[in-house]
Amino acid sequence: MTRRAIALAVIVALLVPALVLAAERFPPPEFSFDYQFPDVRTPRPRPPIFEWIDVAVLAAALGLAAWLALRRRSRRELFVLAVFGLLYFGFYRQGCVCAIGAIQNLALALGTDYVLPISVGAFLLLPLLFALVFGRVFCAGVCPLGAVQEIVLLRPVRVPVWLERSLGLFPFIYLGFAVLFAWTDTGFLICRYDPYIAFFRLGGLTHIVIASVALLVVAVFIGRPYCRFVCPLAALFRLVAPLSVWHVRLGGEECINCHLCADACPYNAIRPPTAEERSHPPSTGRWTLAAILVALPLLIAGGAWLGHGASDYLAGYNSRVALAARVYAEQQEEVEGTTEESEAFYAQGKEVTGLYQEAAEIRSRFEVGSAVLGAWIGLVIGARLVAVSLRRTREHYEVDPAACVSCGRCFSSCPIEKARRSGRPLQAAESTQ
Amino acid sequence: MSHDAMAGESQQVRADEERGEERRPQDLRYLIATRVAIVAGVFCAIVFALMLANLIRARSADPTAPARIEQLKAKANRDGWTPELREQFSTLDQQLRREYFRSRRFAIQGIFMLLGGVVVLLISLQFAAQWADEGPFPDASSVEQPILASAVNRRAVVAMGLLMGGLLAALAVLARHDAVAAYARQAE
Repeated sequence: MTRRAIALAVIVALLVPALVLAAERFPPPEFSFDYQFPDVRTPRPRPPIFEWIDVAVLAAALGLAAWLALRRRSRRELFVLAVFGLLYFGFYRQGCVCAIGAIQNLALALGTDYVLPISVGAFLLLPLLFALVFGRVFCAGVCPLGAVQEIVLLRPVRVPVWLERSLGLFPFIYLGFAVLFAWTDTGFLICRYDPYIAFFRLGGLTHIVIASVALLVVAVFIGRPYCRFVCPLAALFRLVAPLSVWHVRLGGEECINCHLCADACPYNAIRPPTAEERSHPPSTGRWTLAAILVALPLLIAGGAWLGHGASDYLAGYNSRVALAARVYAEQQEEVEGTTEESEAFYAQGKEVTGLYQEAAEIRSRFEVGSAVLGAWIGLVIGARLVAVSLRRTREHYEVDPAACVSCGRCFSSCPIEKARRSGRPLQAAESTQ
Repeated sequence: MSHDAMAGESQQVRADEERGEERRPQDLRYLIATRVAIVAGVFCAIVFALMLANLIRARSADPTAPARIEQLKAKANRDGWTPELREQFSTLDQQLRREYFRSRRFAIQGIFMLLGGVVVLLISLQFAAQWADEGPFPDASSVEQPILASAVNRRAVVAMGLLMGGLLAALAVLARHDAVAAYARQAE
């Protein structure tokens, strides 16, 4: 049995009990009193010193991941680091605080009087800084969500590039919604719908657990589906990583175009060389690109208009707005009876007008935020259209820093890399060429 | 066809045959591993479905909020605790506890069955991947056709854009018929 299979068995042994523990959410029978203990699903707060220990561990893990990916170029050691990340940030810290969720803390701090803890800010800033300098090393060896998916990827099936390009828009859109909901203090979407938190906390809402298992099964065949098609932090990385000074590179000018690296990469992160298209004139596609550039402001404006129109609906997800609507409906006798929330509000003895005023303020924030969200969606779609319409020529296989998660799979398949490590000339490569 | 070419071809056929003979036991191992993986996958799916059914059943018969217990309590408060009522209460209590522990036992057994199934599934998949692997082949002819790729990618992005636009439009339409909006306009 390979070491990887053993590691898999251990990880699965840790993951699977979460399913049944999730099924065991209701407490044992107790008929002596009516009080039901609240169902706590978030980790308890810890002394501040531990938060700084977490930041130190994050910084050390990021540094180590960068060193392993760029200097050691060791897939095996990166994998071990990823398992450490899973155990520490996943199971020990129960997925909180995490860099992905910290986006919402920042948005909340920008939108309300919430003060962003420095440690939480560091959890967002450090991975982004490392991505700016070294590429997506956070995804390679630190992120527990990435580690889960990396471990279970056994039978990689390649996703067509066109599908990857279109589904790749979703993280940007999800990021927009998450920021809007956090900015208006409506909720933390990313945390609520985190697919792997149920494993880390050994319990969770039933529908989330089912979705988690489904996503895990998908991850056996499709490499990192959450990272590629959902993760909002990955969307930020996609913007930042192409600017990185150092990131994973292969072959370079010595590349013999053997295709082995692209074959080894399950994430479509290695772009093949481009063919000479003699049948098409060089101007082909320029008009299309020009049309898209002209349409870009229209897409942004159209998105903003639609987003503004949707603001009332989105505002309904805010608990204060929903409570105000409910109380109003009860006051107008449009509905029968009361809810627990409205009863709690009446019990406080507060004025209804104050609640309405508060809800109206939130709604006005939603009007602005939804318009910005719509504009963002238009911009993302337009920018992606521009990106896919630009013609780039490549003579060799090149790593796409935006898509590359620095997992190191390609290192062991590249003959140039092997020759460089062994210090021997590339005879086999010459014959292939 | 020249003599050299024919000789080369027969050599190639012989090499293929030899390779085929070498691969036959490997293929058998691969087949066994994939079959085991399929069986383990089906087993996991069945266990998972049963656990899900158990969960739904347990939720519907949540012993912390049983209506009959409440009814009996109300009756006891009204009429006092008669021996008959105590007996009924005790029987119902036992019944609910039995149901609770049955569900719990079922779930815990399910843990181990699912755990075993998933471990077998993963290990067999790992072996299947290992034995199916014939090694990657260099392919110097693989290149991207920029214009074609660009057109296909553009269409896919346009499709996703239309989907997202449709979603926003649907939300905007829903907002027009939203009770929240009606309340807010009047309240403001």
